[in-house]
Amino acid sequence: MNQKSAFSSQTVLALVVMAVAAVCRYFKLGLDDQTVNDIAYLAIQAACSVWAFFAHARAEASQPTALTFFGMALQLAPHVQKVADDLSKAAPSSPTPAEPVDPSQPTPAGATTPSIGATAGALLLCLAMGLGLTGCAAKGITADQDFATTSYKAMSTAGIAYDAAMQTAGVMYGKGQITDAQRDKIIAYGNAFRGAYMLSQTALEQYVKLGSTDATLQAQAVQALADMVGRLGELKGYVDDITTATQGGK
Amino acid sequence: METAIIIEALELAAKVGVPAVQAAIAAFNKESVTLDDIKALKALVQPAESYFPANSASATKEA
Repeated sequence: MNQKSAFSSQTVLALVVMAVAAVCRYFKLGLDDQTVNDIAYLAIQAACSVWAFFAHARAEASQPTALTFFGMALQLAPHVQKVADDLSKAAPSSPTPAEPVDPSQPTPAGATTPSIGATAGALLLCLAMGLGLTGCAAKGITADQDFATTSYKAMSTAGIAYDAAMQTAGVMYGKGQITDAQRDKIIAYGNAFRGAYMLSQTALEQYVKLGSTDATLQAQAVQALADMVGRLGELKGYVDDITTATQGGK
Repeated sequence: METAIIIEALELAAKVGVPAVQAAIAAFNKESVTLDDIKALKALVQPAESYFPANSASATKEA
């Protein structure tokens, strides 16, 4: 990792953590220190994994380094979903104001909503992806080829993660470790991901076919990719929960 | 440093399988992608139903 890429990644980390802190303050989530720390940690993981995709595409990171971060990316989605679920449960009944992360900033008034947790989780990923894309653009890289390549790598990664999760679920179902109801839910999550994945593929194909640097087409593809990552998080989180429960019950 | 990377790669292989890691490395090795590469992404994910055997032994009901 050279000095320039290290600086870029540090900048991304700082921005993501600051954004999380701002979200927590703004919505007055009433989070305890541990939860805030968890969110910051996950934000760092998110930034690292997304940075790896784009840094490797720019030849700023070696393959093993990118692979290391890729491992973190695979682990990230279910944890984000878990924190998002915790926030969804905690937010409506939070009796205390949020723990200020930065005392120098005022805490604006704001009401919480039950969906804010899930929104925060999705926001982390979208923000990290957006920052990564912005970083590429800022470096003057040919937009279409770089975007197509990095998006292809992201989709390949997601497809592999989906396949691994579904194969695990299939084996567990075959052993009777997953109920029919759980199987139906996994199938629903899986098909939701597959739908988002196909939309991303179509958006990316359109983008490459037109050979375009059109910002609208690129924005559509980014949106589709972000949705796909969110769906993958739901699926992997659910399968991981079942796997953990099964292992704990033995 | 290299030891840590190897351990990380092994952990990853244990989680998702060696073929999956090889596929990931192949994807990372691509310097550029073509339209055919992107079209091939469609075949990477199968319908969720196809992962579950039709006549499974699972008979447990949801609590």
